[in-house]
Formats: sequence, structure tokens, C-alpha cells
Amino acid sequence: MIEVKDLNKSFEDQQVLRDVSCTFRPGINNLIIGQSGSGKTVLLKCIIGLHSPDSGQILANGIDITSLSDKEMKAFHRQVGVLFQGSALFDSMTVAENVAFPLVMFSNQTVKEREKRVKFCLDRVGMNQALDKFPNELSGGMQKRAAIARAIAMNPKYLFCDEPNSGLDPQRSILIDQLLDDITKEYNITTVINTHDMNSVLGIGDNITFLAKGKVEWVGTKDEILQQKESTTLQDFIYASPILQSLRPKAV
Amino acid sequence: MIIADQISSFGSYVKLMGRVFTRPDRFKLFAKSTVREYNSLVIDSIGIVCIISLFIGAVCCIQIQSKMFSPLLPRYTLGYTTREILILEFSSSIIALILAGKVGSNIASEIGTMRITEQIDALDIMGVNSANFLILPKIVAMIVGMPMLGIFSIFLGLIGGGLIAELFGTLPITDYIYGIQTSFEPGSVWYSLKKCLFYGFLISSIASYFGYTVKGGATQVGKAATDSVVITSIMILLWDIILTKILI
Repeated sequence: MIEVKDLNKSFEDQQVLRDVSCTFRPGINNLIIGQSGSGKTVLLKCIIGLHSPDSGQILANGIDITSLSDKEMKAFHRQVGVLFQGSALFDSMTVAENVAFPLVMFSNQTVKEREKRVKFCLDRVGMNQALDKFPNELSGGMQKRAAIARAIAMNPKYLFCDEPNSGLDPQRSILIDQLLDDITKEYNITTVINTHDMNSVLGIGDNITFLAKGKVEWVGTKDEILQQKESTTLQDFIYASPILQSLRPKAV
Repeated sequence: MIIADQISSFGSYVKLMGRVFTRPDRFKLFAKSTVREYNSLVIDSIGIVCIISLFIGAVCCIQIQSKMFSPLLPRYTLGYTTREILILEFSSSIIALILAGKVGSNIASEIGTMRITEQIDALDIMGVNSANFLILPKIVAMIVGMPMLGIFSIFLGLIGGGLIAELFGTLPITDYIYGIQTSFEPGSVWYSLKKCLFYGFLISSIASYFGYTVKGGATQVGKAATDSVVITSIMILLWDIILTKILI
């Protein structure tokens, strides 16, 4: 479980996160949603340790990761899988080498054990046919799936995904969402997904945190989000699409 | 303001080098990467070094020959002077300037692209020391490879000069070879190789620094590659004076 308490982060004189507090539980899909520039990516980068917050706490199973030493942070990172917006596959390596990379670096597995694990992970994401391909030979969706395989190779406790559906068509987006949902539930991972895709929100949003101007404005589930009337900003966000506008609850 | 920026950049460069020069996480992987970098940075540069050295050796020979008016000068001076130019300056400093363009921009744009496509973030998140993993093999490859390129350049430059002397019939090849051997001091070759070692470090580390610290998109990667070439060239010229003063 990850708990964020009173997190603040600013860049020069611009405050990006303001007293953000939220909880991400294991075995469910925790979604952070919000408009572009609302602070989603900064929050995610603070949690994974790429940015250090100005104040506040981030507790991973009770341990405050903002006060970890470099060595402890490295150990924490080995429990983390990250799916970056652009996949971030190493372009000088094949898909199989990409997935094997964390195993080569940090496990003491034999070559055979490693190959077995790589095949298992790629099979899990339906990418066994692309073992020897380089990232530039893959479509966007395939790159995302290969990146998910790499992220789960070390059996992570935490999986962080930054805009997993960006650049994908709606059908591929649904497949990626389904894959993340399956993996989260199968391995009881604490999955945190940054998105502004309403299909993802309504499809896999077990625990949704809505950020607006760096503040947590609403927390709920996919079943509650369409009914909520507390936040007009969230309503504007949800019903921005002309297709959904007719479903918008009338103001009381 | 500009001076403060330069001092701050130098500080970040030193800090980055502190992260680079640590023990690699997996030595086998480090050795493999170093061999790969040696191939792409050094072996792939042999062609251009050979071509340029051959031609510059030939041009040196023509230039010196055209300036030798005094009958008191022995004919073998042509070989002697060509050798001295090649060993003392051309095959170390000028080849380093050329490689600052070829290899330096390659390194800066490769690492810069990895930065903007979040590949370096991915390494950091995995708990890998990305600076050590990406930069150290390049530095080791260049430090080992530059003296070798320097030797290639000296030989090819001398061959170029000899070919021109023979082709134009300005000097019999035996006199040219005699000139090359006259008053030869092995120390000058060591001096040249020491400079090559240092330039190998400068080219790879400065280009890596510019690539590693890129912020933004493709335009910034291009700018980082250009900046790395400019700064490396200035540093090579500056250190050429310092090293010449120290080593001679």
C-alpha cells in the first residue's frame, strides 16, 4: 500500500502539488486523473523518487520513501515496475533483452531460468512472437506491452503507469487496460495509473483520485464518478466529450 | 551571470563524473558494453582518421617542400619535418578535434535521445546507476582507443608524405625514410600518446555530460550535440597548451 500525506512540490515559483493526500491499495487499479498540467505526472514522479517533494510523506507499506538513503532507495526501486508514457524501451536491445535486463542486473538467475522468466512475461502480455525484434520494429501498442513485460519481470510490489494509453487507438487502449487490470489482480500489485482517458476511468477505475490545480478534488470509484455532483471541475472533465455530455447530471 | 553558469555547469560535470567513476553493478555487462562502444566509437573512426592523415601527411610534405629554398638544407629535412608535425601536433590534437565532431556529437545525441525518451529514467527507476552504466564504457573505450587512432594517424600521415614525395619525384623515398629516422626521439611518441589518452577522456566525458543533462525535446538534443563539439574543441585546444607545457 502507498500513502501520500500532505505532499507539496514546486518548481521555482510555481507550486505544482498542494497538500496532496491519497492512498493507493494493493490488488486494485488506483487511477490518478486530471487535466493536463494538473500535477499527475509530478505526483507519480515524486512517488517513484524521480522528484523529491518539498514537504510531506510518501509511505510505501509504512516506510517513508522521502527519507530513504540512496542505497535504500535503490532497494525500493527493485520492488517497483514503471510503464513510461513513451514505453522507454532500450532501443539498442531486442524485446527479449529489454525484458531480461532487470533480471541480468539484479537477479542471480541462470541463463535458462532467465530465458524462462522472459518467455513467461512476454507470453503474459501476448508478445512471444516478438522476442528478437527491436523496439523500432514494433507498433505503439506492442511497445507498451513489451514495456509492461519488462516492468513485471522482477515481480514488483508496485506498478506505476504514466499515461499507458497515450498514442493508442481505443481498441488497443482497452487491451492495455485489461492487461494491467489482470496483472494487478493476479499478482496483488499496488498499481497506480496516471490517465486522462475516460474509457480507462470507467473501465478499470477501482480507486480514482481526481487532481485539479495540484490539489486532490475528489476520490471515489468508477461506479460513483458519474453520479458525483460535488466537483464541477470533475464534471467538466468527465463530460468534456460530446458523446458523454447528454449524460451529465443536471445542476440542482 | 555567464561565469556563474559556467561554474555551475563545471560543478554538475564533476558531480556527474563522481557518479560515473564507481564500481559497475555487473562487471560482465560493463565489459560487453565497453567492447560494443569500442567498436562503434573507435573502430568505426579508423576510416576517417586514415583518410585525413594520409592527405594531411601528403599536404605537409608538399608545403614543406615548396618552402625549402636554401641549398644548405639537407633534402631529408622533408621527412624529418613531416614526422615532427605529425607526431607532435597533428596525430594527437588535430585528430582529437576531428573526433570531437564525429564521436562527440554521436555520444551527446545518443545519450540525449535516451534522456528525452525516458530511457535514462527507466534505468534509474530499476536501481541502475545510469551515469556509470551508460558513460563509463564510452570513456574507457575512448581512453583505450584514442592512442591507437593516434598511432594509425602517425603511420598513415608518414605514408601519405612518402607517397607524394615519390609520386612528384621531389625526393627519393630512401631520403624521405632517412629523414623520418633522423634524430628520432621515442619520447615524442609517448608525449603524443599521453595527449591522446587525455583527449579521449575529454571527448567522451564532455559529450556524455551534454547528452546526459539534456532537457526538452529533439531541438535540445541537437543543440546539446553542437554545444558538446564546441566546448570539447575549446577544451582540447586549451589542454593542448597546458599538456605541451607540462610534458615537453
